[in-house]
Amino acid sequence: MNLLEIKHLNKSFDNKTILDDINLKISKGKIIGLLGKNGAGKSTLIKIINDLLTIDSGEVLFKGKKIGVYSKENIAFLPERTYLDKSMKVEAVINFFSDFYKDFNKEKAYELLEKLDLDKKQRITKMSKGMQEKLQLILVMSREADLYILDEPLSGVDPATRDYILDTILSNFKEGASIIISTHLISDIERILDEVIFIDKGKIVLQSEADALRNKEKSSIDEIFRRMFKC
Amino acid sequence: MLTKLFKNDFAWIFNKAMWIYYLVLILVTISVKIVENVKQNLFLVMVDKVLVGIFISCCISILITCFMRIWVRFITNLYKDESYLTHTLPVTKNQIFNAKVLASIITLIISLLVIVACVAFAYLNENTFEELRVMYDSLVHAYNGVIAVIFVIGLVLLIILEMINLMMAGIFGIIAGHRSNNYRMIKSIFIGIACYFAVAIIIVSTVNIISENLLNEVVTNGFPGIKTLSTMGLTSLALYIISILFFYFNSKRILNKGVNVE
Repeated sequence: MNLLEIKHLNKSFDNKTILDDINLKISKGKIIGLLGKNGAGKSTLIKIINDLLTIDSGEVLFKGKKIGVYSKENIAFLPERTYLDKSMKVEAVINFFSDFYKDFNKEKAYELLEKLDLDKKQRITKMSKGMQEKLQLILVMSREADLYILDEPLSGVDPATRDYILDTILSNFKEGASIIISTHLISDIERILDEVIFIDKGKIVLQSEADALRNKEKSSIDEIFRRMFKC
Repeated sequence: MLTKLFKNDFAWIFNKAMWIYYLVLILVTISVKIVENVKQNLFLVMVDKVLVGIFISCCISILITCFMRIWVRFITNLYKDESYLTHTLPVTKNQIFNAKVLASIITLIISLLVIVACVAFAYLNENTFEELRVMYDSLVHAYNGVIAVIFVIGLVLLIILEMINLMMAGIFGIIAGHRSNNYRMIKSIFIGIACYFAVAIIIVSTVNIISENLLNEVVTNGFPGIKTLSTMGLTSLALYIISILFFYFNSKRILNKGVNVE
């Protein structure tokens, strides 16, 4: 059974089509790059998978079940914006996640906090945006989920930190789980991808194994992307 | 899960800001009480007047802050940045909504109790107590002891229901207004205000229609008859409850259809 299956998904805002007949299957144990230009529909698709947007038509199934409590128990989502309650302290946020997610590993969270130099006593409001993003990454990667969805995890981060973030992701996700990484910074994540999905103007224009695509086109994913979406 | 959600919602709504308002009101109440007891010259009478003004402002501020915190919690937690966490928690939309409503009602009732307690402490002395006793006795005289007690309880219940109705109208406005993609806040405010006034007009009109003997009875006896009084009271209570339930179930129904976060 597929981990995630999307059938004939359509979404529009104010009569403007954002996603147009999306069909997608995600299997277990893959790292998938959801790649597209800004405004291509990546974030909208991710929001729909996470029950943050309604759909006009179509179906989104996680392990054969409609999106709901079950999918939320098993999907760890890192949005592109900071979503934590600013009045809370880091420690309280960790307790909050531990309260709600059965798969949350508190020890791992504290371990990652130390590694990433974050103080558990610090208030979120006193943290910079970068620190808050690091904390959110820790919260997501401390879960033992079946699917990790990371929306633009590298945007607004310097190149050195990008590698560090990618290493954190790679060394902390549950074995056998899948990861969907949405980004337009392809060269940074290319090395870790098993599969790529190109999305443009709300349509999936390509879904392929990363190696097969590289061999077929005799160039890197980044180059293929640039060729395909040249303005 | 409902308890965990409630704990977080309550901690947010009933946070330090509310405590500061309560503390200020208590301090003003104590000052009013002291000045009320010792006012012997013009200066203290003037101070008393100023303190009464501050006291009333504090009471109103507590209610406004309470309502604002409740409504802001719904907006930020369901539709703004924090919604990315709220809607990805492994809980149902019903649980999310119920926890917030419960936390809101409890905060509202605590605020009302603090205000009532402060009013009682500031102004309940031998004279006012005697005035209240006379009013109560006249109620007992006009009806009987049991009816008088029911009347007082009914009145308190009506005030609480009115407050909850206002709160729920606002919540319904927020949830209905955020169904659309544009002008969400303006639509929320408009729907909330329109719903609240629609309910108020319905209640006043209905009570007016069914209590046609009220004026005659008050002019003739000084009090409305038991039948008129009970009809008025029960109708008002029933309409408030219907209105609150309407807002509650419709808000839940809309929320369960899904959200479109910003």
